[in-house]
Amino acid sequence: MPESIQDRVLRVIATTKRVPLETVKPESSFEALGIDSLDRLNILFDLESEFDIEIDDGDAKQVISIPQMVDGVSLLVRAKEAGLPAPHFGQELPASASGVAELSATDKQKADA
Amino acid sequence: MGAPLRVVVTGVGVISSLGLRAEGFWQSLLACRPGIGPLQNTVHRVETAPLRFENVAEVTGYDAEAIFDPKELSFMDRFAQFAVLPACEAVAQSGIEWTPALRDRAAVVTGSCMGGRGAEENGYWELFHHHRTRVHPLTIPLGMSNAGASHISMRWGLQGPAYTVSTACASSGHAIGQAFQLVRSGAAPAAIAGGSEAPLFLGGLKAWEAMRVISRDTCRPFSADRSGLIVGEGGAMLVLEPLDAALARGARPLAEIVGFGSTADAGHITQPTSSGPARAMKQALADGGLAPEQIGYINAHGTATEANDRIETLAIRAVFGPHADRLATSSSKSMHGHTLGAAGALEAVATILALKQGVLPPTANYSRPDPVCDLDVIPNAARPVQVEAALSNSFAFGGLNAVLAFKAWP
Repeated sequence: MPESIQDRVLRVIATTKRVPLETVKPESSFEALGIDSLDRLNILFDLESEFDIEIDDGDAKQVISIPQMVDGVSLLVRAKEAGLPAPHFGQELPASASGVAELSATDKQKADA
Repeated sequence: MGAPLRVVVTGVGVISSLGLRAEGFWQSLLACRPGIGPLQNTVHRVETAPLRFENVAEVTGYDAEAIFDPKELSFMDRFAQFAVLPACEAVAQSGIEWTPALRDRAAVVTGSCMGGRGAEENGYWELFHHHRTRVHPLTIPLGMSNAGASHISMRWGLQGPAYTVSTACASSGHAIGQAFQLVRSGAAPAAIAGGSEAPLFLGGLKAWEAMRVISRDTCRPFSADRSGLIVGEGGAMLVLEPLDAALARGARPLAEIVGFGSTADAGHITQPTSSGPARAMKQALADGGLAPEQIGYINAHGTATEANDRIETLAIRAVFGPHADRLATSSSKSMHGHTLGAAGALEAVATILALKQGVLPPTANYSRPDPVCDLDVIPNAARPVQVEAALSNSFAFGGLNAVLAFKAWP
């Protein structure tokens, strides 16, 4: 099975922060992982490279959790695959673009619940 | 060495997005007219990596070839030109005559954050992109951060202590503070001090962009909708002399420089604390023999990042207590942008001219109060007030802080 977007985000966080992968869980808080503002900047930069996307400065400022990172990255990846301009975090893509979508982290959590 | 000498500023010079001389700089500050707009000069190779932002504070209407002779120019990166030009203006205004005795020991202390990295970029582009095997032989003398100090010392044959301080955005605050100490102690009979920066080259702009601290529109210090800094270029220089020497030759001081405070946060490489800046302000007051109540104006570091303006407000409140509500604070970066290593010098000049002219420069582009920046920030219009003394704050990434204290010369 290919690595999911969430797994890739967790891997990037672990690599950038130089901590063992098993310590980085979707529900881990930035605080618990010791991620400060500069770490966050580094992680977003490495996510941009990993997924070949560009994260807007305004969106970057609002990211305070791993699920937000996963959702934001998923959104940008879906938009890119659908050939759409990069949306802002939290925006909806047109229905035609969502066919290729992988479930977002929050959707997954809802499904799990 | 004898007792500490009183030190005065007898000349200033500025080149900035607000004009090529100090007069244009000051008139723009008074008129609350920002020099911020879309990049006009060519940033080489920008097509290879387009920028995510458009606006900068750029020196325009500047023709280096009309000012410097070709031979001289080939040895000077733009940042070094921005050191020499305002030094020429400051020396001319001071009327100082560089006698052999002065030349023998006069100091030159400059600040720059990035130095001549624009010249280095040109060399490295050849190496890494065009796969050339060599770079231009002047890459080192053009790129070295002390080039500004060296060219100033050579221009007038000044042979005393000459060096460059690089403390990111506090560089020229530290440089002026160091020069002040040299003149006050008698180690140097006069000094040229200030800073310069020319960061509008692709690698430099990309590096700032990656920090995610650049505003997409303009610089709005202390405003609730502030969105980051605007990178600027320019330079400013001061002539410092002992008071007695200046008066003896008939010079008219612009202001007296009385105190310097310098501290390290010893905290985080980019996140500021309020205690480091507060201690630097307290030290500058103590060094200058000033009571907090004597300060009527603070030219803030005021970068318009979320963190700086909030932390700086806390620091000012911590130092001044209730007097924080009676003094005025503004950020002239709202007009000349953040000139990085030159910022401390540009803002020292703004502070000196405010004391001399009896008008306080405003914070431009201010739109909405922010409860965490609840100081009197002189929003959007200069204020005619003669204050007795003023501070100029400079706080650098890396937690290195420099605060200068000036008094009006009656």
